[in-house]
Amino acid sequence: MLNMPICIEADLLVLSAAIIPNEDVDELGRLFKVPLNQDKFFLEAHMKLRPVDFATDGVFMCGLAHSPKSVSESIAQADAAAARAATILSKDEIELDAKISEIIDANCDGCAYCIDPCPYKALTLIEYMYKGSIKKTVERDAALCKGCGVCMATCPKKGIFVRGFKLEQISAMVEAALIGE
Amino acid sequence: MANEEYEPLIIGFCCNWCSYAGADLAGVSRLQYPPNMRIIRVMCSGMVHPNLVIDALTKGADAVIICGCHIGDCHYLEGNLKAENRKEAIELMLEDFGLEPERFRLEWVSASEGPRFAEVMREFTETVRALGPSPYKV
Amino acid sequence: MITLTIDNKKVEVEEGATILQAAEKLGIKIPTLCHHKSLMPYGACRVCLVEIVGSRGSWIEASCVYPAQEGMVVKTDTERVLKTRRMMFELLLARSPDAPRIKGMAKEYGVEDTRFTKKNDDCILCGLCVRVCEERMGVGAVSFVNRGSERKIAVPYDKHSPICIACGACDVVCPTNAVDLSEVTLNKPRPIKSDYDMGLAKRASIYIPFPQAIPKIAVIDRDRCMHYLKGVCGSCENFCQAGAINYEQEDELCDVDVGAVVLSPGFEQFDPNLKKELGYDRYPNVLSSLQFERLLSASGPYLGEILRPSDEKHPKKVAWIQCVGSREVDCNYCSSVCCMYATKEAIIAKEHQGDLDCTIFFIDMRAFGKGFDAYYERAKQLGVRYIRCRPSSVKEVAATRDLKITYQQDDGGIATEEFSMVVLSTGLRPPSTVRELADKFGIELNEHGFAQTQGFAPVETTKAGVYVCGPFAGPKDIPETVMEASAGAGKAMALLKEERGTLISHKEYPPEKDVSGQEPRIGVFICHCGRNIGGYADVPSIVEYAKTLPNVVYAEDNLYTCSTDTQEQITRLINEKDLNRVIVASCSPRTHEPLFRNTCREAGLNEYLFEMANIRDQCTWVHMNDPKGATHKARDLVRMAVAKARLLEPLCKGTLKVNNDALVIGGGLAGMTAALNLADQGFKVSLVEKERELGGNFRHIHSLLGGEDPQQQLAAIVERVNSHENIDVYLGAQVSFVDGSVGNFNSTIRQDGKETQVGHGAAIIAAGAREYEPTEYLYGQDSRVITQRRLDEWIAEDKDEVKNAKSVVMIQCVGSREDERPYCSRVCCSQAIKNSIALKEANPQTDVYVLYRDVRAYGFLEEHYRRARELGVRFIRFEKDNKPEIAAGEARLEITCFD
Repeated sequence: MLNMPICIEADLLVLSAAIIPNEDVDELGRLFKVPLNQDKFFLEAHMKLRPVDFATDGVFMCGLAHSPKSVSESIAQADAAAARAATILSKDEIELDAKISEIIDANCDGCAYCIDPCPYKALTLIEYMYKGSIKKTVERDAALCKGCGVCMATCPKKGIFVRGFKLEQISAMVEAALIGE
Repeated sequence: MANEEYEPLIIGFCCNWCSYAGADLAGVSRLQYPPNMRIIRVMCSGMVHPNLVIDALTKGADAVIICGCHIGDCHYLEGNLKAENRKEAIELMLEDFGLEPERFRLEWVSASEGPRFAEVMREFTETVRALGPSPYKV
Repeated sequence: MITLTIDNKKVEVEEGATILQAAEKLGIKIPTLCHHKSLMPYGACRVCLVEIVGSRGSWIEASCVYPAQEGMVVKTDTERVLKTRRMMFELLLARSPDAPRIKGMAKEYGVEDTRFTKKNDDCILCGLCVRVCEERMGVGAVSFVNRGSERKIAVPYDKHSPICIACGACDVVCPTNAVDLSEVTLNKPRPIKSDYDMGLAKRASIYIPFPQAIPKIAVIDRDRCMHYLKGVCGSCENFCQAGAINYEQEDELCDVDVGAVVLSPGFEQFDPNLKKELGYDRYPNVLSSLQFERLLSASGPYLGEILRPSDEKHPKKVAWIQCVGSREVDCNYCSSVCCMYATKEAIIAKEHQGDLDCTIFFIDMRAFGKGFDAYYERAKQLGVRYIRCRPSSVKEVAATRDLKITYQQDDGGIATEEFSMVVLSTGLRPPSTVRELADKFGIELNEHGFAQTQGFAPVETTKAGVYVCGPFAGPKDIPETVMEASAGAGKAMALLKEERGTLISHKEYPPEKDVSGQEPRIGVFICHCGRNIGGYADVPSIVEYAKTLPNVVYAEDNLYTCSTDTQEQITRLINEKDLNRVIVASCSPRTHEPLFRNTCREAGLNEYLFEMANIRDQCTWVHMNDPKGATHKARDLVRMAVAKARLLEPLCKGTLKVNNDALVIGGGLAGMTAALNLADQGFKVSLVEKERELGGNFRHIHSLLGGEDPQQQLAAIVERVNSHENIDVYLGAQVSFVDGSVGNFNSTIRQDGKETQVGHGAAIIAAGAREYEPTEYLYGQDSRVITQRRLDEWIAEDKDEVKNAKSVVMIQCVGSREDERPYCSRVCCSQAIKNSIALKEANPQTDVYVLYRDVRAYGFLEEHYRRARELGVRFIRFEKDNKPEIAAGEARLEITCFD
């Protein structure tokens, strides 16, 4: 580099323009609940080891929406995404997460505060006869519940909790943090 | 009555999908922030019962922060909206307990916002440091 | 069999066994120094003394030689035993006061010093060297001479031994490091260099290849093992408790019937010995990049400390030299990964040693991967110095063993600088066995010796049913390698769809233990993660602290808790210690919880009785400058995890039926390829494209560097998609709502105001991207300013504007690598090279200039970059803050840049 100005006359000036994300990626990310990176390309579950997976199970990515790449690289990633998707599609059934909500009948008085906030409509109010009087409580659909715990935080009576995230379990952690050594 | 020895202790509830991942990303990117926060992983910011916040503060936490996904990005559709709805109730309860409103914070940090997570931690720690120890601290 | 009692415990041993062997069977630890499992008992050091209780009183004996007898009663921990052992340690300390092993053992018995006069002789006359040489190696080169206080170990006549084979066994067994081989023999011992540590450390002739080897099983190096070479030794057979040593074992030939083969033999490092001028192997402080990688590793030769080999001192300045064995006449390709690994090594080195001065000599910074440019910028901010020059030689400064590098500066001046260490960024070569492999499978190799593939079939070899992935098909980084690995598997699955699932065997777990009603018994496993945790937080103190927490019955630390052997250990300990809750304090549960849960299942423990404390990502990595704070926080996090673990309950999972259809969003090249692969595998696919036509960006590509015709290819792909019975194409359509989750999504596709519901088990997002519309360089204002995509079209259409152009200037990184868009667009360099070659080939008289910041012609693109230069394309570099300037002249455009 001599830092000398050079003047070139040209009949054509060709710009190597960047590859930029499409405008609808935000919307797609929202629909599938999958993240984008700061440059608005889709963010994989692991930069090195899971380059076509999202952290959300069952959703995969390939091509330029992941990052700029060549034709061959797009094809390889597309075949990779298909292979990853096939690991799910080739199964007859999958296991559900055990960490879903559970009702404590003894505490639930059927006030139904939890029912509307449930984003998955997994809760229904039921009534039944108990010792000659009508008792109300809530029933949870295991296939619909995703374990978000909105119900747990809404309940004033400790009548519903998410397995593995019981109020007592979280409280125990808080207290342990506060007692010091 | 802040003295020089005072190190604030902050309880943080981070949602598994965005903020906890953002906290991990801050680590992966080696972004440094003060070690005053104890993160408790929850599945969603909407899972955090207001009683948990008040209990923590009245048992000696200097501050509590709940971190969730940005509005619209919630893994559970709108759990973070529920968390936001509860914010006002929590602030009213703080007043009743004689605690400064600054001791509670609700922040949105996405999985890709490692720098933001570190920045929120730095800034919040300093704010709480300036407030001095919680009156409930033994 | 004989039954005896040791420390009130009964044990049965075979006739002829010693008390020491009986005690070992009970797990009772007795200290020994002169004892060696593969040698005859000797009874010289007397530290293994035990008390034998008889009917007429008790007496002291050396347990290593005293035979066990029927009905015998032995005590190993009486005051008398301990007193006598202490005395023995005092005597040993008098002889060798500085031997670390003796000092350590003595300290365990509370003996810190000796009251006897110190003799300062390293040798304690245990005779191990004499015995191993005689008994095991069958040589007898050393022996005891003289008597009484004059007794010593010596070579006959105090001369160098004529029979010593310099095997080094005496040195290995000596407990006090008293053996100096150069006094024994003139033969030079040849230490075996560890391949894994790239020759920076030694290894034995039986060894476990590396700490995380799978399976973690020892192998014998038959070319070095004395047993194979001379029929002697055989010590390992005595030591192996599993009885796994079998010297007669032969290689087995196995026949496997398969329908497809995926070849992934990887790559080899370019041999830096071929670059004599760079001093490798001549100067100890010139290392290859893989050697430096070992230096940085916590399991490496210096346990993660950066020390230079010549003096094991911290280097002050380290230089990396890029493109060693890449981008050269006889190796006309770029190794693709060296720019980034050198940058990574420099950053990590600075993390290890803050004051380290790191300099990287490079030609072009090829940070073309996702997030790489940001990483490169971070390295510069951290003070890594980048010098754009390829040094031609490295010279050692004899006095300091520093290394002198002469290089050309930006202004053309010559500079010389000294470095404490030089790292050669060696390139990637095809494996040396590649030719044999290619012949065996009947595949073709390219001119560089890598597997031959086609642009449109990146994982297919020249033979049907044989696939390839990873660097065997050309140098590439980890993400691309992993992608190709899945792609290869996907191709094989499509080929073998009829056979899917026929060879599956289901993993069996032990029956789940019922822990209900049990008091929690918590085991805590704390990970060093190499240096990632242990380098910042005081892990042993956290372990000790964990042991004091309620319900914790066991705690230990691991170098890597996630390694296979630690998993096995945890499984064993769950059963041994009857643990019913497990805590791992390490990295993030988001990445590692499934692994550890599985470990719990392996031990018959419900997987939800597991909890993690995130002491790496959310502790040591974010408090690197505050080890005390990090340790304190880690202790708190462990305490919190224990508090939760005490309340954990076993949970069980439900199951859900999987919908076997797929949804693919985006009908460009990637989306169509994914859809075809899935459809070929037999899955139904809904392919949603927002435009009215399939093809996406690919419709605008008219030529490729490999020479294939993209439009012909596109037509064939579109035809296959449209006619495939398993694919439903939705054009002019968008997904408007998604419900459900893995295995059972339910999406709404909106097309022409009509909504269709599709169920699917998985979704692939291939939504593409687009070309940036420049706002700079008069684009849109002057019709002579176009983009590469347009030029590609014009060349294909043979437009007059191209044919008549006498001078064409290309500007790179327009809209890329800028503050608001800090990433590299990866393909523009090859686009520019492709189009400039096309212009030159059509008309050699056309002047073509490429104004660039770094030419990122990675992998085999390098060949085309060279060809462009050979055709006369001029490449002129500019800096980000000194961009070319454009003036629109009446007849021509005037471009000013700086060279």
